[in-house]
Amino acid sequence: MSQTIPTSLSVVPTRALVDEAFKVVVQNLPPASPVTLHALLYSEDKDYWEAYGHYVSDHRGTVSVAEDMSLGGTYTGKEAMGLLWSMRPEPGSRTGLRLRKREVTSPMLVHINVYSGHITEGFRKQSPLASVLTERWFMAPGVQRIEIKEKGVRGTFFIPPGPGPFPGLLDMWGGGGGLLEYRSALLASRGYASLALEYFSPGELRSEDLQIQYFETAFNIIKDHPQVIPDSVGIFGLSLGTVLAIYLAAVSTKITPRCCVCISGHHLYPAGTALKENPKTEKKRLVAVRYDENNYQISRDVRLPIPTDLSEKVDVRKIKCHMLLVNGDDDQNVPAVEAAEDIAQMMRSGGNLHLLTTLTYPNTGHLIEPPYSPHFRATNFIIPTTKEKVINLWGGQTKPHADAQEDSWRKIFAYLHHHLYSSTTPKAKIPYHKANMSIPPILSVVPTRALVDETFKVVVQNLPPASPVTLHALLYSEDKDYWEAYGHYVSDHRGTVSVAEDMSLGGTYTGKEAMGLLWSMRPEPGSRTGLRLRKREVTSPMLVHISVYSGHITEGFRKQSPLASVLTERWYMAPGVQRIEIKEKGVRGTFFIPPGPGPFPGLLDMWGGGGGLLEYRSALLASHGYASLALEYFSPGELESSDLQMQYFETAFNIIKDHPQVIPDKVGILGLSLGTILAFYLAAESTNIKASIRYNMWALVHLNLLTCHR
Amino acid sequence: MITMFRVHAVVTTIQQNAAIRMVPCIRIPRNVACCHRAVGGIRWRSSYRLAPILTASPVRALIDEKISIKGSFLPPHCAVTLCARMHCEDGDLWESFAHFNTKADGTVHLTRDDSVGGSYLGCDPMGLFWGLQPAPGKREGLRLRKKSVETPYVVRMSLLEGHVSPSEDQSTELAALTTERWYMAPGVKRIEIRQNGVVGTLFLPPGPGPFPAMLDLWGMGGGLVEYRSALFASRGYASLCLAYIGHQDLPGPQHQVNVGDSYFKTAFQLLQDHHQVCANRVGIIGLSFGVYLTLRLATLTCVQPSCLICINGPVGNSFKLQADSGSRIGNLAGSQPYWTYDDQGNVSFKIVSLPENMNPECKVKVEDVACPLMYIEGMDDLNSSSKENADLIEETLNTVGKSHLFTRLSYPGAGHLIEPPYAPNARVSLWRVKPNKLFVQWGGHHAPHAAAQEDSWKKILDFMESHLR
Repeated sequence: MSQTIPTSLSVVPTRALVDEAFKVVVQNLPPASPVTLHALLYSEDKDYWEAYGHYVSDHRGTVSVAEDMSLGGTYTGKEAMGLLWSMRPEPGSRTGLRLRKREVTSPMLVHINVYSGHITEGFRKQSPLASVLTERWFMAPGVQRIEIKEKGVRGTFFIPPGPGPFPGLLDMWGGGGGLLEYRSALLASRGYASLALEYFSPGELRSEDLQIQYFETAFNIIKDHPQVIPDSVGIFGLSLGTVLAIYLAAVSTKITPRCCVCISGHHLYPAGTALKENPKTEKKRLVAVRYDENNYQISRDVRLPIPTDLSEKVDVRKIKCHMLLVNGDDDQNVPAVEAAEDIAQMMRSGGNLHLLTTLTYPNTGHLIEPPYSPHFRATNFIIPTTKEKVINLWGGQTKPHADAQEDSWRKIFAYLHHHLYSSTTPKAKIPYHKANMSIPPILSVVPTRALVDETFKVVVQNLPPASPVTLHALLYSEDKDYWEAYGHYVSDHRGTVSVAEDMSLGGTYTGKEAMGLLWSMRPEPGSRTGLRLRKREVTSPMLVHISVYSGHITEGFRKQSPLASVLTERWYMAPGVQRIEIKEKGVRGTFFIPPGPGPFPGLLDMWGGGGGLLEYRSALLASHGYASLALEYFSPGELESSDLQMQYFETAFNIIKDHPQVIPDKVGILGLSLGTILAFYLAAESTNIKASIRYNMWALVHLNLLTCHR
Repeated sequence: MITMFRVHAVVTTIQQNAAIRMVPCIRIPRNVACCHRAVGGIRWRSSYRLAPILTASPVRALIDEKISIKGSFLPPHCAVTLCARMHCEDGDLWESFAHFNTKADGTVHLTRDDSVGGSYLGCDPMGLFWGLQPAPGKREGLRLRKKSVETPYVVRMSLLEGHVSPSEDQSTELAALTTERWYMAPGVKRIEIRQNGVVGTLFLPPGPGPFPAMLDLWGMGGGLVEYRSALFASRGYASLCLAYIGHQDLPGPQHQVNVGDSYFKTAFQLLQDHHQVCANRVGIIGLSFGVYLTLRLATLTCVQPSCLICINGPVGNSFKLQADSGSRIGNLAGSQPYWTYDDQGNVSFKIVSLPENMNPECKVKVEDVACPLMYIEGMDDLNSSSKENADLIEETLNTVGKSHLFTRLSYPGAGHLIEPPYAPNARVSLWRVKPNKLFVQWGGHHAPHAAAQEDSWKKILDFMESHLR
């Protein structure tokens, strides 16, 4: 019989498609207790995969994975889906593993467990406090799975539930070969009839395999299926699959794909009726392949520099369908980013650049998979042409790679929706970055008036779908310098960009950063050097102009006219806070008192060795309910030891303590840098102050000691 | 226990008239209904037409989870019908439908848009689930109950052109999707119990536990009804559903209750003593006759449940339990003088359970209840005198100063069979075939009954959360 309240763990939803997020919440823990959340999966290849995060429960004894920070583990920070994307083989497993679902008619089973304490290994030997089993599916109910062995084509066709007709997709994976169904199953779960095509057996690629007719036949099987819209068929490729997509789009006269989604590929094959490796490349492979310190093979240099000779490249100038390139800038397998630049250049000269959209993700590797898939930096690989077994380095850093998988998946669907689900009315045939321009974009920043420690939401609407824009923040400081920050975004199918939900692909910050437009601010290029932004006049706000510009631009913002612009006020001082200049008993400072009768807890607020009077932190503390005295203890640049008399600080402390709106026994000291040293000194040495400082105020002092050492 | 609350909630719901199944009365000729489309040059059957799509999130859900269904890429301002079809385990077809008009952007959202005709009216995202009814022309008196909880209900949603009735018309299907509705979450363990004479099924949540637990008692319909227990386990409670009549593994004739207090006590203790159960956090839930058993068990010595949930049932009985008295027949036959019939000859047992008609020796001493008790009353219950029994419990507890233990939820328009959410209501269903075919009245109008199921389930889980966790 147990008297303790059992810990409860909930995962919602417990049955989901792999690209859907779940919410993990633990309840009924003791308050402030350390726990480890752990995800465990037993793969079809009979390996254990795991991920874990260290959490501390809040005062109610709750941990919410979506809202709380992981302090350690296979991921850190606030990561709702970290328990999936940071999965890796359990320590001691075989090396070079990659997790891929082969049997798509059954789900992946993931056990989510919560353990007491912060543990890092031996999970399976310990008993969890609570556990839940979740199912992660690639295939929605009602999706039809049809094995294709028709006209020599080998593959599996997935058709969404319902009568259709649906847009179709030809889905091709890369040089690993074989038949991989999971992405097609997921595409069909999202409304696309998708054929996962096998075009060579694993590890047995012969050049005669890559005959154009084979792919044209496969494409036509999709197009001619009664449940497919014949003129809404696209191609979806990754790696070698992308090479084939580009090749088919440029070379084939028999098929007309409506659009192509090209992940991590290139166009560096000479054109012909079959895709054949350039003999030069074959020779170069021997010298250009590199190995890193772990002996992982890096093959991106084999195709660098990008050849200038047109006969060595697919002529992308002939492409007549829309192309979406999705690349990672840390791709170690192929030079995808360099190739994308060359493709853009060729298409510019061919006059078909308007068909190209490129997404390039920072610190992202070659294998950009559906969302929440683990990141595989290096895995076992058989070189298809030589059958050599190696460990291939794919590249990418786990967190940014996971972000890229999530963001690109949404953008890919926006793109497919736009091109395959839209009608072919004359209007839609206008390149879409020129269409819809009559509706002005709307930029909203909520709230426009906020305290500096409050977040805002920035959303742009009414943009053309899938169009590149730059969000820009500009501030003119009291010292008469311009400060700025910016991020590059691509709008979704509704023509929307949400800074809190979308990835910045470049700029002064990258990734999903709701407040990046503020914290990444730096002086405009060409400004004076060594500047620091500090607000002196706290009774007025900082004025930040948020603007959205067309295209991905990096400089000269003030010379261009934005599509839309909003002015926001960032305040240190809340309305109703009293600001009182103190010149009492020789003490120099400014006292900020929260609105209302009080009494309030008090704080003595001291900055560091820069000297002078800095009010903004005290103004903000008063805005949050603390009567705070910003103390000047020496004039800027004029510190003499005579300034640091204990008596001066004691007098200041007593001014706070004796104020009628302050609770006399709840006064603390907040210091940064030299201010922290003083705080410790006073707390330890002054009998007057020591008696007054409540024990819990030490936390504040201590916190800032860390700040000063950073 | 000072802060214990007492609620007498009257749930105002959708107007009564919404409860009556709507049959589409307006049939707009196709060419008129679709006249808007001609302008944009968008036609249904063209290789250049939009491909309509129907999406749902989540597609696989627990039975008490709401799902959001959307239709997109439809012509603007156009009449469509969304139809749900499902075959139950006995092979009968159940269906429901609702009429919508698409918005200017060519979408239909069930979480946003009003149904203008069909199985329900107005905006109700789950209307197509609780609105399911046996397809016209099929067997009479069906009641939808899941037998195998290890498989889901598979409901096919179909989007049809125009405002149509699915059974009457061969309408064009524009899009479709399939949803799964589960009582059992992944990882829940189902364990058949045949131990110390106890016949039941124990459902355990995934994980080591120990878990708070529920003993789950249904009415005189008998058998072993597992779905509510499976759902409790999916929500983190160990739950034992117990058979006491109409099961082959129980002693004696199946049509009567042959077990007594000791049987229920053994079952309660078996649950309590399970190593994955918190012994001091066990509640009891009963519906109909199960309410009588719940109250009776709770007032026995040595049984100390943490809370009781009573849905539409009596505090007493007209017969003694067989095993304890050995005298009268332990079934409803003894109460036959109190049976009443409506115009169609459907029986009602409402009068049987009036407190004045109960055998005084078989009335539970409600004053002995020592734990929080929630009584859920369907105000249109035609099967038991729920109001009078709720009044009696309330008065008795007030008299002995235990009013703080009592919570009452009264739902206008709700019938006898208040089940987990989104289950369709059977106002009348087949009760027996021998000696004569007899249908029993349960009461309840569809929409308010559905609202009662949704609201009461939330309150049941909250009540368990406060008293078992």
